Amino acid sequence: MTTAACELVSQDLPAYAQRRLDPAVAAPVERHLKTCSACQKELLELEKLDQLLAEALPAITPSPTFASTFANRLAAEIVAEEEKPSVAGQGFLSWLFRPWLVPAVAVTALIAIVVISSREALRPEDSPVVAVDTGSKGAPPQRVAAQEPKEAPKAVANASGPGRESGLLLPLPPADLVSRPDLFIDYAIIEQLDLLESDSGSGSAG
Amino acid sequence: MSPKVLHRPPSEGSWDSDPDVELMGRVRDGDGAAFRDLFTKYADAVVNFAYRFVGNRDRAEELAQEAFLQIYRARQRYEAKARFTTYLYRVATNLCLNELRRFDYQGRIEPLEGYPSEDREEGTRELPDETLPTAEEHLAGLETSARIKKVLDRLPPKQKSALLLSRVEGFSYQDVAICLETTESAVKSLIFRATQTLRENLRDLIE
Repeated sequence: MTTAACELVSQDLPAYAQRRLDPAVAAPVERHLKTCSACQKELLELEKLDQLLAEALPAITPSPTFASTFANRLAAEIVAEEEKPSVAGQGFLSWLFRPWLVPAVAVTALIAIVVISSREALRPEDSPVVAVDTGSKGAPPQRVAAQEPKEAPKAVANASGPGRESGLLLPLPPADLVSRPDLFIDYAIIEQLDLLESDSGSGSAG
Repeated sequence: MSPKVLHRPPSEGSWDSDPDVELMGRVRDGDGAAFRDLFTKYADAVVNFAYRFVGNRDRAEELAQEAFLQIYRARQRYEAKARFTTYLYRVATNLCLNELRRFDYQGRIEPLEGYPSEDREEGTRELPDETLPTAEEHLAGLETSARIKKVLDRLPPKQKSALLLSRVEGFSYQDVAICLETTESAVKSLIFRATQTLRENLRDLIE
């Protein structure tokens, strides 16, 4: 009949059978074994089991070609490593050490900067600050959003006339355009609009 | 048949005094002779470990070779955190567990080494040798071993791994935990359940 103590000791018996228990853990197991015949019997069965396992699983000798087969596989592995481009130890940053790559990346980046800058310069109507609405041909351009910093950006659907593209206004905080050199082109357009408005005598756009 | 003496992993001792760790460090630094020494020392043991797992000699040899090749490929990232044998058997165990997951090895029990196949004419001796078992003993031993292997093969892979590593290969519970990437208490539980299963199925042999 097993008790709670037997259940606890039973967990440790496999390790105890192989003398693997720490002395502090083995001590209570030994004390219990002195008084419990059921656990003594279980310990004997475990020792017999270990013996059976050793007998049932005899050692085998690898085949005569085992070592030579492995030598061939290892040699192939070494050859494959030598043929691979040497990036060992460089890991993630290994690409930086390729001589042709850095100038190529630099030139590509430079071209990209020039192209983007040119596109910004040639497309003032895409200004994130101002959208020029020419709803009808010849009408004075309307300034939108420059005086309304809190207005959410909106698609300039009305401005989709011939040759015009509609687009979203990017949200910008109220900005002093003079201090924003990247928007100086847009500021120039605003000046033009102001001039046009004053010439036409119309009120400032709301 | 006298059991072949295999170089078994030490069950005690700290890894930082392990000479095999030093050898593996030399392998990391490009010393091919050190790798050859490690292979010579442990290849047979790993083949046997894999054989006890998959029960097929050819596949066991392939798995053992693959274990050493993986260690070779990863040599430059090697960091000593345990004994070398723990590291080696961890690689081998993972390969064997993957093998069991990929293929159903139950039932593929080969005739055991040292025991004549029932299909062959071996075992016939010109002169009687009293030290060798009789034919009946041979057969009984064959049946017992086959039965034990059958019970082992039916164990869940992790229980089987823990049992083989601990009770056959001689690893400490701590090293078994490293091989199986688990905790010592989990290893204790795995081994307890495995031995309970073996005891229940082999009761007539151990009482």
